[in-house]
Amino acid sequence: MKRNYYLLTIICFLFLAACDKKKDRVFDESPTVRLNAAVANAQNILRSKPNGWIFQYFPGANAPYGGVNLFVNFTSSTDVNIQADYTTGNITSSYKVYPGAGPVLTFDTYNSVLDYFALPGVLSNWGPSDTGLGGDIEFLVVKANADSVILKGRKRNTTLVMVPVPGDAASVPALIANYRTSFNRFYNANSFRFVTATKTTALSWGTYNGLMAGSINYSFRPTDTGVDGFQQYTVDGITFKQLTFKAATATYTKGYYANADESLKLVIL
Amino acid sequence: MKFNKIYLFLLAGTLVLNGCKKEKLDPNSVFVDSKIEKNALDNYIYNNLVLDYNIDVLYKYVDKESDQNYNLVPANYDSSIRMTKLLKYLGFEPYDDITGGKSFIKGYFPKLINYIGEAAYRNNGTKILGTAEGARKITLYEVNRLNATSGVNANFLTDSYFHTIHHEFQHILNQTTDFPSSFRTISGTSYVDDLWVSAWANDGAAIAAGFISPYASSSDKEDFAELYSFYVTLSAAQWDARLNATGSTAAGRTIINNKLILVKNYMLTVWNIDMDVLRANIQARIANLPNFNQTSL
Repeated sequence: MKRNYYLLTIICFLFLAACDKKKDRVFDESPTVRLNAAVANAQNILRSKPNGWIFQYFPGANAPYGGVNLFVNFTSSTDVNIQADYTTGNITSSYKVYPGAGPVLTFDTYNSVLDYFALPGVLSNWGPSDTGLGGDIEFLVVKANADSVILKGRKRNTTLVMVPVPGDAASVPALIANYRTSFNRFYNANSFRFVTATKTTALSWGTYNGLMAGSINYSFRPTDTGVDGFQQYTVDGITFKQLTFKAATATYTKGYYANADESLKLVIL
Repeated sequence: MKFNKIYLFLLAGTLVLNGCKKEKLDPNSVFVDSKIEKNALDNYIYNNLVLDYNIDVLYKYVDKESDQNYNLVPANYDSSIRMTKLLKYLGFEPYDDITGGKSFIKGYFPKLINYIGEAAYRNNGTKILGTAEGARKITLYEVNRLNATSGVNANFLTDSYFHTIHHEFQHILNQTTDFPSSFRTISGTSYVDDLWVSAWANDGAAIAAGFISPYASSSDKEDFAELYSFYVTLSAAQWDARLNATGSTAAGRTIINNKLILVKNYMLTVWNIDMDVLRANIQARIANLPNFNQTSL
């Protein structure tokens, strides 16, 4: 009987040798090939827009400081031109897309238009001395296609969106000018209040472009037509994200932003 | 028993067969780097620093080479050009002149120099200006402060960049050949370790205690590197002014000068570098800064 144990052991080992595992892959290609393809795809998509992209940029973790629009144009395999609504600067610097946890987009030389939000607070005079506004300069490309690019800041984890600059090349300067007017209208307001049928909520400025109602934070990005929230907000039971600018009236002398049926107004004071 | 032995051999044979799976490793990374066109600065760095000194410069932000604990911004392109040209002019070429060739810097200087746009700020607002890691990398901060005006300001260049560069380089020389232990005995028990931050009211108080700077009081290694770096980067007049700062004493100056003799002796006997000749060379280069072209590549 003893020899049978040996026999069994040997048979077991033979089975192990025979057992060359080849599980069916979920994806046809290896992860490496797919990552390389994703990097190439991200690079191609970014460069595919001759007018560039509107980068709806909210600095900081959970975006407490409001947002801006960066007009980002990837002009060559290394160069990127950035303009914005909050400044008149027009700066060219470099970028790169490299493989990380996915394709990673890095703005790897200094660009004062973008890096204003990444500067330590000591230098930008916003936020804590070390982190400042907490703007990211490196982003994981979560998704890239012709309609939009979804990015996730590598340090603050905020999900951000880039959409193509609409229209043709000739209309871009007017578009940017429009955004700048809109930005200044919002940024230069003394304060705001929410007005609904039953309730008025006073708002005061938080840090940078952020608004506060007591301890509740509202984060808006001025757009060419009004403002767009970082997320959906609910005030007095009314949920909204985008608001459209309405010109001054006798009641609201500096104009206001409102939802579609004007049941909620964000009044400029 | 006979059968058992045969089975045992078979078993061993099977095991060996199982273990024997050779796979050749591909020397190339599976990740293809995207083709990046080389610009003028890339070419300058390759031709002048990589080929001549085996030293590479990262002027573009690379997150894994940078300190993740801080909020850092990249260096800008124009300041990076100035920094790179000045690094060669004020950092490397003085040693080339003294030693008669590039092999000294090539052999001992850290291999990687990382540029960061602004300083690394702590949450109390204090900042870090330069760091070195394991004799292999030097990180220079506040590169974006370098412009046409600051680029010819010798004090700015020394304080912001070159003091750090010579200081860290001295550490590496010490790691290769240690300095004489007699140096340690001069200030012996006076070193205050981490308390250097708060131990001295001003530079003069540190001088009175026999230290060229507050940081020099943290340990004998730092003391040695600080003495060296201050001596070669400051002019004779600046050095004297430093030794005679408010609060300093003659007793403190004597201690510093005694230590300086050992530093000079070490550099001369071990590395065949006369610190006075090196200092004169650096001072001549500083005097010539207005004529030095920092922007052309």
